[in-house]
Amino acid sequence: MEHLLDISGLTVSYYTDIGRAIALNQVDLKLKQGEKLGLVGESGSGKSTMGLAMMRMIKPPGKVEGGSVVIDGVDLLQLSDKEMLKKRLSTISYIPQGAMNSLNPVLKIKRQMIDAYKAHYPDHKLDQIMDLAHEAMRSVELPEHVLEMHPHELSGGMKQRVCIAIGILLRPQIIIADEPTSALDVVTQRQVIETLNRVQQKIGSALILIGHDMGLMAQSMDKVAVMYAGVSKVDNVNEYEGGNDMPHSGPYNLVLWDANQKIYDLNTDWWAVKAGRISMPEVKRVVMFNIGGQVGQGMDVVAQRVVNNEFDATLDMRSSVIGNILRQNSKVTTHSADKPPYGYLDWWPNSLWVNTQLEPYSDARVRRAMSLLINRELINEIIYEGAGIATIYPFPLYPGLEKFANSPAVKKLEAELQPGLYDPDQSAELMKAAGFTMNSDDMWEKDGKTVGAVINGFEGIHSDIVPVLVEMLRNGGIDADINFGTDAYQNMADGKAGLYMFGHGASLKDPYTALELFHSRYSAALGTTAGSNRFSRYSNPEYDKLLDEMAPLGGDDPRFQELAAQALGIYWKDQIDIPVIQWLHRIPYNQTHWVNWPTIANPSLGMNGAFWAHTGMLVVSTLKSAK
Amino acid sequence: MHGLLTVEFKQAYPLAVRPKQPPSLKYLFGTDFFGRDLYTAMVVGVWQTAIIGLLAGAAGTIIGIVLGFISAYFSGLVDTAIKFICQILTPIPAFLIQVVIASSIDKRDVTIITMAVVVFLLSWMAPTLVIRSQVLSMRERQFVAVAKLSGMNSLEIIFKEIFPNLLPFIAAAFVAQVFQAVFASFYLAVIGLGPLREPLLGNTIWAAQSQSAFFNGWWWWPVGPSLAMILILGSLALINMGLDEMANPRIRNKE
Repeated sequence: MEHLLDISGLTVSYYTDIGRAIALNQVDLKLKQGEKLGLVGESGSGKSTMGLAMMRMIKPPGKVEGGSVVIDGVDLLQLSDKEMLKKRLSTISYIPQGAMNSLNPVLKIKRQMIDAYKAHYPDHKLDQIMDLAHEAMRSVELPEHVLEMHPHELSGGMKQRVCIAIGILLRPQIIIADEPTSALDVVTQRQVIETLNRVQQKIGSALILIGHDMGLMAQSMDKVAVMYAGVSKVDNVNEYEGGNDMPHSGPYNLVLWDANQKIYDLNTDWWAVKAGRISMPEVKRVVMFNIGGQVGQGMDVVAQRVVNNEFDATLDMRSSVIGNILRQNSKVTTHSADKPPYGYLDWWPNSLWVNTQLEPYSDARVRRAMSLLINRELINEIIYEGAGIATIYPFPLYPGLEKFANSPAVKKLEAELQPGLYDPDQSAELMKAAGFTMNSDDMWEKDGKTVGAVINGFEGIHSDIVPVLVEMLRNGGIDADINFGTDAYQNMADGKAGLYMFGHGASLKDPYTALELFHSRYSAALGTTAGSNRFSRYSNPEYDKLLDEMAPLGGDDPRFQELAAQALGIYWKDQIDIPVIQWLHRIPYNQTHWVNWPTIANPSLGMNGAFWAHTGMLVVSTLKSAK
Repeated sequence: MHGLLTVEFKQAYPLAVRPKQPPSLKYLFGTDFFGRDLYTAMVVGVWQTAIIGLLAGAAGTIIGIVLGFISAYFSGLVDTAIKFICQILTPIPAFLIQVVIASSIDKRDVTIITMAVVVFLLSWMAPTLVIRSQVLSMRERQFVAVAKLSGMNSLEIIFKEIFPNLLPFIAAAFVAQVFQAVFASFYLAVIGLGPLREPLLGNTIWAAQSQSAFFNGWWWWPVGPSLAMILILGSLALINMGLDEMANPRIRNKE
């Protein structure tokens, strides 16, 4: 079919004091009879300018500089002002943004309709006009007595429908609705859009709906054109059926994404079900809330909403909080059911790292002295309610690694080096040996300077453990303090003086990757930025040799195990960093509405229970309704 | 003061006592997640907060007096400059600038003293303007003219004639300054910009907040410092109102 509307090369600029601003740049757009097009784009992208340009309503300082707007073979831009006046409303009508202000407050609706009509057909009889007006009111589902009312007697939604009624009075071929729903609540929005759709079908005109509500567009439009910085991408969208449906192979389609939430709806057509790979997921809709702020902040509010059965699963909780969630709502469970540690082991055990090239941390005795001040039993008792979270390893104790940690060679080293020892007296001796003296504040001091051990960390996830570490260090004379500032990570990467609370995201099966983090090849020079996990800047040829020999060997190779034990020995002996805690994901699963969460008792899923991990959708798609 | 004499300072810091204990005879205000005795923490915190308030208040008032006198007494270009700066700075919300400064200081340098400095930096304008306007009116009084006629020099006039007359205003300005400073140190600490280890009243609330105290049922944790802060600010406000009445008879007559 021939195109009803054919816009090509439309260019509009605004001339301001600071120069020319191109609002529309060579925009092309084609529309068939009866077609519905959604025109979306960010604020200022030229959506409204486009609508106004089609109506020839661009006012100075704006100027149409080129292109054509052809409707039924007539280029609107070439018409005289008088001819254009005739075209408006009869061929192309425009329903303005904000109906509230578009109606004359002192005239009755009837009067305004008659005026609009008479502008086109001055010699028509009043009866004839009134018939049309009544019909228009009926098609927007407004009672006819509204015609006798003033605009202030109507609600926002009614006013908007009056504007639509005026817009369709002359049965135009094209209706442009510029954000007709922007000031209305969602229920009224829906009514207005439905009205618009119905009317459009009834009179068979084409509809251009300008707006930025993607959900609305996706529901009611045939196709969607995206305006970006004055350039329409409509042609690509025309070719791509299905609008904003992103290409993917999962069971859920993203239907809404704004600052507050993401909503996914089940795709009942999912190929994996058709292919018999998996049964149809029971969860029809997934809503993800943005709780705002830094990760781990405001978690008490989130916790309360889990207790209230408003959330089914959340981000990680701290140990004490998740314990209280379980106590307050018996329907909530965790990976380890209702027993500590209420979660599962992550691959990210946290250490106190230091820049080993920087005074005084370059002295292994100082690092060891600090480690001797960490009372790991007390940490378990105070922060983790007795669960054994404190660690002496830079890797998580997953089965393969646990086997390594329990091997005779490692056990022997552990007994010999005592990496988890808490002994302030021995610590004091080491500090003295390193040349420090106790000052009047009971802090170790060398050349008039204390150790200055500011612990850089992240408030959301570390504000329980770090204050305790600071106190332990201070009790042993290390002048420790806290930095949860936004510069914390940068300080770690830049190797600024101080301690860094950070994990080792490395080993899963055998210890190679974790130990390799301390290889000299990552020992960035002072003044340069170290990569993530490379904060130690440690350099030791003997250690490198062990790692290089391990590299080609398999994890089960006895030689590999032997070398790994030696390397771990150096890690402990040289105290490359100070291992503190294992990392756990403590996620509450609310079983009020959904069951079959991945837990120890239900390991068949064998997947990470975190909804934010790659496997999150797998977890969701295997949930079962609790009813 | 009684508190300061009886408590053991050490107990205001983590790991000192049994954690998470509700109020009891042994721990009057309970203990927190980190094992601080909250009664001790409050006693120490009140004094630390008071020190910030007094330091920043005193510094602000003194600067205010000096600038106010210079500005009003010598008038001319100096006056215009001082007045101009004050009037530009006054409407800028101090909170924003304090947050920017407090969060950009190296954490090691955030101490009780630097907190006082941060608070003081933007709090000297109000007393400057108050003192300036009072001196302006004082300057025109008869007795100053007489003093001038009798050959006293500027300094003598300022200190012997005008200053004693302004004491009530200065006292009121000082109390208002202390109020502002205590409050500022409090809110900065509540949002986690204070010296995190110290048991400042605001810090205690920050810590309670970040450990989800209410959700976990440790209701006593933020209660003590909140009450203390209400009492401190309330009494400062009452003192200020009283001084105001003393300095400004018109307010008194209104009642």
